[in-house]
Amino acid sequence: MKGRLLIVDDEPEIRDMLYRHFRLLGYEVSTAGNGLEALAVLREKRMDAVISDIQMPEMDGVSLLREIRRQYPMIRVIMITGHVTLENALACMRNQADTCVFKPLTDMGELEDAVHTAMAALARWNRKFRELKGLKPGEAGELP
Amino acid sequence: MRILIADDDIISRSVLTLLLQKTGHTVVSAMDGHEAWQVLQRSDAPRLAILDWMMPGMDGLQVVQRVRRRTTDQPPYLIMLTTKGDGESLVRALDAGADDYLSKPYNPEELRARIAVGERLVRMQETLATHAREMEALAQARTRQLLHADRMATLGALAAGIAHEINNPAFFIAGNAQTLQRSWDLLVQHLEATPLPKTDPQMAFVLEEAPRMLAGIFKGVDRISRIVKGLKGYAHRGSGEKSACHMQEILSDVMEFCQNVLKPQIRVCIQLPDTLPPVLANRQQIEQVLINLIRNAMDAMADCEGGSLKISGHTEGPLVCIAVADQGPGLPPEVLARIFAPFFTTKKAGEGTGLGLAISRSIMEEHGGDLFACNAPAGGAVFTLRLPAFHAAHALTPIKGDTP
Repeated sequence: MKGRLLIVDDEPEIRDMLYRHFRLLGYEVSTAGNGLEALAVLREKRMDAVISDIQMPEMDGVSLLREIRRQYPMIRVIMITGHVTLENALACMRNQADTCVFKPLTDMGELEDAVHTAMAALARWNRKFRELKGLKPGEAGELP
Repeated sequence: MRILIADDDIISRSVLTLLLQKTGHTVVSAMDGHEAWQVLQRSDAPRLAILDWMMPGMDGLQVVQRVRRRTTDQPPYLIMLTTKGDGESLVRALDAGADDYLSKPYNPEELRARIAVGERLVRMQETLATHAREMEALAQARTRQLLHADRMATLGALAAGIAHEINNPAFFIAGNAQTLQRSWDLLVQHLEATPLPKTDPQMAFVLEEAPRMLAGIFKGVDRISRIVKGLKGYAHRGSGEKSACHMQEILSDVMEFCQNVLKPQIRVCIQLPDTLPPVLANRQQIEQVLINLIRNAMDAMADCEGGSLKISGHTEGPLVCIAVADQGPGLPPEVLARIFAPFFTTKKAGEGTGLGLAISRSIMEEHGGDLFACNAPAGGAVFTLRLPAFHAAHALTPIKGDTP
């Protein structure tokens, strides 16, 4: 298992497609139809990364991103949008999304790379945590 | 000029007529106020009238009042002629709307001079009216342009909306196809280990055709992706902002637009070097200028059996030049002198507004470039537009260049 991934998109066809695609690539994938549903999934299940659309009913992607940053600072968030505007890209950057990928038509490579990079960064942290497990509290990060 | 004389006295009418004819005027005479009023209402009414005050029926003062009540863009110049020499009568006549006042007996020289004043004013009024008509036509043409721009903006918004709507379904078609492609590759790998019986013709078909089906889907998605890109490009075209544009791209769009004006017997030859630098321009406006030049070139070659339209590009210092050359009859000197003047056209009435080249030149000047015409030594007309190259415009280099 390469990692746990949550796909958030209001269009079921896109959700299903991404669900299949990343499962095939070896991820454990969950899905949600909007920001609120996504938060409900996150309360139940630990996730490593979220791929979220921006324009969605109930709760849009930028609000979800903000909420994830507040509640789950460790989760990596990759935004995708079909509506390419500077405002969208800036909103993603200000709220510290990993990246903003424009819904690609001919190549999924950029999205795959983004997920791969996010998972690799998490893996590095987890390695660090494992190394620190043997240390007592207060000694963390300090050389003996 | 034509002058109306209204006087009930036959002798003074004849004297006046003779005097006017001697100074080269044409006389229309009326025997009383009613007749004068009839004449003045006609569309070809004289533009200057000398009215006797005292006439039976309708007097001169009443005629003046009636004329002034009527609104027309070219009112006649009215001179009141009377024996009443007092100041009070003069004021009454002028207040009623007379332009001038002459008391009998008059000095023929004074009459001539006063008519000359009237004639001058009438001419001025005509010039003004012509200008007003021209301005009105210009305003109408501009309004049409604005309406067109507005329609283009609406189309642009529509194109952006369509692009967005197409994008989502295209995304999941493309995504699914890519996942399917990888699944298929996995399946084929497994089959290599445990092959299906080769004898099953249907399986053989699937194994052979499935990759082609996938390729077909990818091809379709690729085309949709290009259409979406085009629509997005179109949506951004309408905005009045200038950006770096490649003349090659602009011209290829222009040639698409011009398909309906190109004639099969005319060969189109485009020579834009790849090294041509990008220009700083409002793409839509430059397209408009080029379309206009190509249309004019086609019109110039309307009577030609063959010939070619040549569009070439080169640089002159910081300027990018595009020349549109036809093999028509060329431009006579009197046409060449006025060709960019608003309302100047060599086309039949109703066919050309005489504004195309005027607007084109103003667009080019607004871009910090220019547009000029000349005749090629080998015959035919050449229109050349020049635009600052993008890097030059960006560095705010002043544009220098000699207009031939």
